[in-house]
Amino acid sequence: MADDVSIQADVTVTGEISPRTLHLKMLRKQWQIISLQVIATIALIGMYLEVVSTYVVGSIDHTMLFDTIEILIGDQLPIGDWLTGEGRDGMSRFYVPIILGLLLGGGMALLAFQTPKVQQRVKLGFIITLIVALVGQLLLSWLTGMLFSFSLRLPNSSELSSLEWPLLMIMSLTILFLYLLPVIMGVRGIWGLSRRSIAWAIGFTLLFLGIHAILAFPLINGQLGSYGDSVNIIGAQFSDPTIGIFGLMLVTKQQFALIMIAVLIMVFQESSYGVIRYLEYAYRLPESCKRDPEYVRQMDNVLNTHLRHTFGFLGLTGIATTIALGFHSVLLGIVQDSTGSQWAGQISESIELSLTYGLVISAAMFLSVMAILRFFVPWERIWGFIYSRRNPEVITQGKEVVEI
Amino acid sequence: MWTRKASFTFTGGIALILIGMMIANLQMMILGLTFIAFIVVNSWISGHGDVEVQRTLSADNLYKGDDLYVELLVTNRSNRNTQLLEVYDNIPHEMKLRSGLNQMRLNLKPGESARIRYVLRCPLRGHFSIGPVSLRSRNTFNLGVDEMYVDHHSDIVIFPQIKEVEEAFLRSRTPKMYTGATTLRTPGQGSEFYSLREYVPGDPFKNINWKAFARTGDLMVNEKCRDAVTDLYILLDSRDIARIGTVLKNPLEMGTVSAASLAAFFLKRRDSVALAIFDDSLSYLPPDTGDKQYFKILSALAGVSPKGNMPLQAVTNSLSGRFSRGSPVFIISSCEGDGTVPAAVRDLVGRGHEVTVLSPSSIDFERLVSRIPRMSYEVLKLERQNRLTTLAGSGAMVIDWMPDMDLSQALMQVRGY
Amino acid sequence: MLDNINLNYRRIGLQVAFWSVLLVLLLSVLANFVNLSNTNQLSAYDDDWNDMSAFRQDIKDMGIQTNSLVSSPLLLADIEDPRNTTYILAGVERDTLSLPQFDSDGFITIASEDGYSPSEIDAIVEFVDAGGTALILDDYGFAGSIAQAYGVRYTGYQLYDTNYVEELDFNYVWMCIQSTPCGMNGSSIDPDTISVHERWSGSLGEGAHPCSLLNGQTMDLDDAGLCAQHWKDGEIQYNATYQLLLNNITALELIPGVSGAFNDVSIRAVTSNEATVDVNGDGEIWVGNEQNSETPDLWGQFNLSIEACAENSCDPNDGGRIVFMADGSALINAIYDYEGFNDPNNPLYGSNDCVTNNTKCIPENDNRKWALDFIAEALMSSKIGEKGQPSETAMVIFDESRHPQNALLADSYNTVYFLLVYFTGEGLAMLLLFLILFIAFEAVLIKKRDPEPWRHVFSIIYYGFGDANRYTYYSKTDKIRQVFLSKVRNQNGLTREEFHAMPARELVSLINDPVLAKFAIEPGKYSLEQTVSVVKRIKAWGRT
Repeated sequence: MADDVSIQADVTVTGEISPRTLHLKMLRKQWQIISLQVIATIALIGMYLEVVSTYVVGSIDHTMLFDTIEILIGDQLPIGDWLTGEGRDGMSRFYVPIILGLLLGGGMALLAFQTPKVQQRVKLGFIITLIVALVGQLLLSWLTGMLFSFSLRLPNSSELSSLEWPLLMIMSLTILFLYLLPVIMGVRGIWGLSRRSIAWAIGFTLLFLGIHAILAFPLINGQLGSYGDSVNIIGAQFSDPTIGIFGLMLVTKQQFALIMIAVLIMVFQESSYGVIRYLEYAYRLPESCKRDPEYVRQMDNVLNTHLRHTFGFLGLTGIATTIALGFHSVLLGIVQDSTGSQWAGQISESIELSLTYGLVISAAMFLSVMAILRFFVPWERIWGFIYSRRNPEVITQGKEVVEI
Repeated sequence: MWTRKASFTFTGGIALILIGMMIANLQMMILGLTFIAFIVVNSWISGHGDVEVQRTLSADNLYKGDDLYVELLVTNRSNRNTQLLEVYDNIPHEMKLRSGLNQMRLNLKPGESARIRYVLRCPLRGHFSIGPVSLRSRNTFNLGVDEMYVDHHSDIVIFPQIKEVEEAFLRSRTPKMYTGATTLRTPGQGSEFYSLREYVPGDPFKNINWKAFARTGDLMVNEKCRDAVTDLYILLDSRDIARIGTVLKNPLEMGTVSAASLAAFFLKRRDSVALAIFDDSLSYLPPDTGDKQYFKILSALAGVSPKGNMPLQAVTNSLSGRFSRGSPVFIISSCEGDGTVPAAVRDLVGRGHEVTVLSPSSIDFERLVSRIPRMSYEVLKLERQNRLTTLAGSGAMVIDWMPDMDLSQALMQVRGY
Repeated sequence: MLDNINLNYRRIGLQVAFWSVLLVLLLSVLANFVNLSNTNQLSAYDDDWNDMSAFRQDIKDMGIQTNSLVSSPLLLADIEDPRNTTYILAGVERDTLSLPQFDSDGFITIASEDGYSPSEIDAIVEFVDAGGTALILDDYGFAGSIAQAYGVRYTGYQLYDTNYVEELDFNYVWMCIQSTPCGMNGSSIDPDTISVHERWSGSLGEGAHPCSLLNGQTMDLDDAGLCAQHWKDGEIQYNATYQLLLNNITALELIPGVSGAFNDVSIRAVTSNEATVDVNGDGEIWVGNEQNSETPDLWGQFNLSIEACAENSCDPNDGGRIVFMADGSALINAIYDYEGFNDPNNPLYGSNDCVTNNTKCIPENDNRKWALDFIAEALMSSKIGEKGQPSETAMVIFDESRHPQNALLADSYNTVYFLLVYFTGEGLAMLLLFLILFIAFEAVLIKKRDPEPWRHVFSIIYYGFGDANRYTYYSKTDKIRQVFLSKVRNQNGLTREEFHAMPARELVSLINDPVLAKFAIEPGKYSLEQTVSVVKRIKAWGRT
């Protein structure tokens, strides 16, 4: 019996050509992890663009704010228009800022992996640069002015005006930073493996949606007067659906945009948190397990499953939501077809159906049916069966193991 | 079972839908619906723990402080993927993980298997059981978690350590008590020829002396000499008072180690060893020799735990009739809290036994865990010295065994007071 | 091997009991709410003689979207374009569900008499305020609370007028939409008493009917749009006379001293001067100069239709308006579509006396004309070039929420709608819902715990303590003396008896240490330092 038990396998002992271990250095370069991070980044950008195109562009976007500020100060802001997107139309206003946000977030993520000493130096350097940029010119001109005139005096107005440029610059950058907060924090979170940053990115987006929802609430929107008009209100009553699957039109373009926002938030959240979760698990494994090919193999399994499920389940979630939202028109059709009853007529034309209530009830009905389906359709067995048909060798391999 | 995340997602989804309806905000409703759709879609796959588990140990019995190699083979016998499955082998908390890990996160496809290997160190003697195997299956997004276990146990016995004591006996200043294997001229299990006798039904055939049969026509069997020089009796004190000290250093632990070591030493010399353990009752292993006896003694010692308060005299009274005349008796006891010890020892000496009292210094063990006032300690120590002196005065050999002292070192101190 | 099905019968039993109780409670609540009835009438979605499908079909044919409202008028708050929406309420046959809500004073109230809850009435009032048009047709039903919001009251007693249709019976009363009462000449209305709609005719100077502006314009019938009912011989011939046939009516009153939501309240139709109201409902009319127990009933002229507008002009572009009519059945198929009802060849609404015996036929009336003119005024597009056409977002909502259903499923479904609308539309219910959601979140936060991560903890922490109480005992002088004497005895190999019999002097010489001898023989008080030194001496004693 004792001979049966072998010591833990080790990649060096088993002599694999390119030994793979679960050390973070190696795991971070693994294709599944990188893929998940890329998916999360794409989802983040997608979510941001969808939110921006639905709620921000043309109503409260940063270029409009910059324009207003420029009108107020009667001058151009020091930050270049090519950088802010001023003067462009529609979504193109956001392309350059998003790239800036990605770079900044990436830089912050990179910084997170430096030694504390380097981090401290970079932060210090940043603060010093900021201070120098802010008051450097003023101090230089003021001090040299005093030096040349041999008199102690307060800075004069021309010297003080040198503060204008840096202040405006910092203000512009701060505004841009605020607009890009989800992108910056999200990228930092994904690549810098920071849960807090991801929570910031999601939280900020949800906060924005929440505030927008409150401002769009008719009661409050009415109180805002002319400012209220700049809030993009998405009405509850809808026109005919134009997007669907299998030729069945289910939702309108606007609804689809809202679904995309919701689904992309989830893709971003699940992929980015997933990466952190798996790396954390690997990190906590003892050294011998990190080198054990068995652990490496199972980690591969788990990561592959996560990747598959990210596409499969989150895709299905999007489709299910779309169908659920469009289900009221399907239900309407069914009720309309079943003639004869006064109720059928009422329901098919009810304002509740076309308003959100019918939408929600029918969506809830659809989702309930889907949920119940799990008890009738053994998905797992079906997929397992398909898998075993496709990979018959795994089963035999398993049997060999038992015979030992 | 839903996880906290799933519960929050669901409650959040419902809340978003309802609040969205209150303030006529479609984004909120859609976000809520997406949350719920996410839960619904994910409920289609829940994973399972329907796996076969096989645990292999490097040994079933081992000595205290030794390493145990464990291998757990987990095989998915079903036709479904297990999904994210956490496998955790429950190991007694008295055992230390030396290398590897007793758990793994895996996702086994149908028919696939995974091996979890780890090494345990067993610092305590006793009977232990590894298992059951706990399983926790989750779905990929941590929305559902189900816990179950496979009731698969592996029992192991950790024997007390065996210390080398031969040198102690060789270098002992006392007159040689035990002079080595000399044949006792009594019939029994052994190697040397003792006599011929007539066959009695039940005698093994291999003992039949065929030449004698040919010669006499009667079935005759060879009788062998008993190999043992003597029967050695070890009396181990496992009363409640023996637990004083730390987990690794207490009179009982040291007592078991010394009992095991002495038994090993004498059994190796082909002597017969008997073991009596007294706590709230008396358990007695009659004298015997050989590996089987060795195993029996170690097993008995592995399971010893402190309890009860049986006086030594009760032990000697009940056993003295069975003791072979003149055979040496080892009493391993702190001699605390038992007024009958001097009388019992005197009685044994009077019966002609060579009595050795191996007494772990209880007060010094107590000092490892309690702050004893200096003066009280000195007086307690004096009292103990008095007690040992009394025993020595009765004709026993007494060893005052300090906690930091090796067994062989202690044995060399054997002396009459 | 797998032992994950750990049946806990007690737990299962408790759960079953809990859910059963919950189900019973839910069913009992639903049983109160669900109100089944076989009297199916006044529905725009049914095509019996006493339903209003013809009216709805006409509206649809005009290209106007029709919708039903099956839950609660609270939903009117969600209508995006009230200006182009008309809300029609015909017959309030059932009361509202008695759910707690805020009343107009901000207090919590549970019971709501008269059909609609305060918040629902608020929703209707706000809808009309926002430019919506409402038509309330009721007689003995529960619409009173809505009327009260505008300073109008449904008397709720049956009204008899001399202007009734003889061929039918006295329940069929003529109502002329004009400021003066019309009268009968034999079996038909005296043409001399017929006048025009006071406002629509344009006689008030403003508020003329939009179709009157198209009067005399030549156009195809298809182009006539909402004024098609006035199309004749290739042109619009607007005529503002309206003789409406009503059935089983009551009277409307302006509540004295009460000003409703709108200041501009006009009476649009009255009865003749000889109308009577059967106050005690005994089917007989007893009237006198004053109302008393002998003559409890009333007679004179009563109001049949009242219109309240946001502005004098009653122009939908200036604000909303609401019209009350004292009959819930003014637009039922039998009257509205009398041709279809009377058609012996193809009766649309089933067999009746007119079809079979040519008796009791519904006389020609202007109900359709009036109703369609009402819709036309409310929903005609005000855009240039679209005159006569309905506006793009025109919608008519029929309130079906107060018509009982005859199927359990249907009523349950409507109830679910109602509850959903109620909980997301009514102030107190929203508050309650917030509370429930908050509690749910708290419960998840507090109660829902994820299983702890597994971790092997190596732990052999164990301490076997001795009896610490004996420490003080062992520092007492007597105990020390006893231990010392034992040591002396042992050292000298004496038995207990020998030692006790030994004289003191001999013991002193045995001890051979004055301090210890004194300690052994003379019991006395020793300080701590002295005791320590004594113990040290005892320890050293006898070593040589």
